[in-house]
Amino acid sequence: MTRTILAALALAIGCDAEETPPPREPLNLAIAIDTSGSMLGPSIEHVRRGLATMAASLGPDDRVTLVTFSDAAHVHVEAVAGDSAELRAAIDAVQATGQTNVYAGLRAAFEATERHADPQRRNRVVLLSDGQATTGLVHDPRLLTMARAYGAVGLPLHTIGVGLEFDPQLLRGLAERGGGTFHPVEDPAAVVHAFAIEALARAEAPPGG
Amino acid sequence: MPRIDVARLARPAAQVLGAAIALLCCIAKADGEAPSIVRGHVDDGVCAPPDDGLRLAWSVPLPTGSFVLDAIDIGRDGCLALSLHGVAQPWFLCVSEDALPFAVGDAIAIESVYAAGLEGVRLFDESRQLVVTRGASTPAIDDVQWSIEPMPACEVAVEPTCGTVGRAMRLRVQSEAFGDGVLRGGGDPLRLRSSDGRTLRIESAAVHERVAFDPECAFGPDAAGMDIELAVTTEVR
Repeated sequence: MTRTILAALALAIGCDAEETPPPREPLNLAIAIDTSGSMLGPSIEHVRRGLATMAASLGPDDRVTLVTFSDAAHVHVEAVAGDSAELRAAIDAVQATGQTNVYAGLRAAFEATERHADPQRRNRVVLLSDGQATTGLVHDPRLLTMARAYGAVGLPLHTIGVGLEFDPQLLRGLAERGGGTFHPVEDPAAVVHAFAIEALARAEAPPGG
Repeated sequence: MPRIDVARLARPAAQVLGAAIALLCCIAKADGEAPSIVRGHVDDGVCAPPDDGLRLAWSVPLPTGSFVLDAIDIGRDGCLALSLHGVAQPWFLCVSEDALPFAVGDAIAIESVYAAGLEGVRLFDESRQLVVTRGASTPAIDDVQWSIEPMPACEVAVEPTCGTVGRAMRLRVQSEAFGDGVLRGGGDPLRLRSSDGRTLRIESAAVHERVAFDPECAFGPDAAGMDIELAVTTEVR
């Protein structure tokens, strides 16, 4: 099941996950993780494992920002090296509780990415959510406007919807407006690999965009 | 058993209903002439329905009480992030930067606004205020009288995304102190000045009359009728 989903994801972004990837440009990557109460249990554990799997593929030239959002947004680390102990510690500290404030989390991720935008890097934001916006600024079209605005300045947004309860219309719309891709992942266990695929995807955006 | 998405079934029905109502409006207007589908001016900025992506919005829960403004950040989406002293997270308010009459360091109060047919927020101090409302009616502002009238040349039209049937309206503002003016939804803000140096600024994201709509798809008030969003700023300058 997981391999099937991975293969579909790899096809969707135009690469083959089984191949050894060629050298890539360094990343300026922000990851916004839904840590609302619905992620409690195995889901948040899969997310931590997924982030750790992704981090293992990153190097000292990559810059990573990790944002979680529940009732509010929390920037755990900002633009730290991809192979840093800070990033690993931040991943270990991710916990689930509260509601789903997508706007705050996504805006924090976009702003951090823009602060560290570098034309020599792949600047991108990855959003993962298993639900719908329930607190904060919950007007979906405003979220779409934000994705379009940051996408227009070269900060594409890739979205991952986990499970069966996420809002596919919103996550698909965010990716479309943001110039990225949308990946539904029905099996939460597949999240372990989805981050790495999304973070390292090189199919669509040139460096700096 | 497969799930039936009632909302998705309702949307085409609303679109058909919308087209039918638009046709009836056309027939009534034609007054004996051969009917033709009224398409209105949906591609015309003046007659277009509200842009949902630019509606006035604010984050909840609303931080009510008195605060000092520690920072004001403007996102690329145009929404303001107000950092309030003593509040851990920024509060987001989607109005234009010019609508906010306050600066970093100002002491302000924030309260909810509830009235018949509308909800909103009010930010104020002793001499300035910003009132942001959305709903089916206009807010109560001292010495300001509102009247709603159709936009000239804008006809009933069917909005293609959700099948909403409606027409663009405009707001006429009358005030003894500030004088008179007119504004439309999504248009340029209206600025009026009193002889004693006060300013009244009004921007609108929506002034639209909806005849029929699908509540599962369309944004705005829950009932047919007026769809009005306003940000009203008064200050001494």
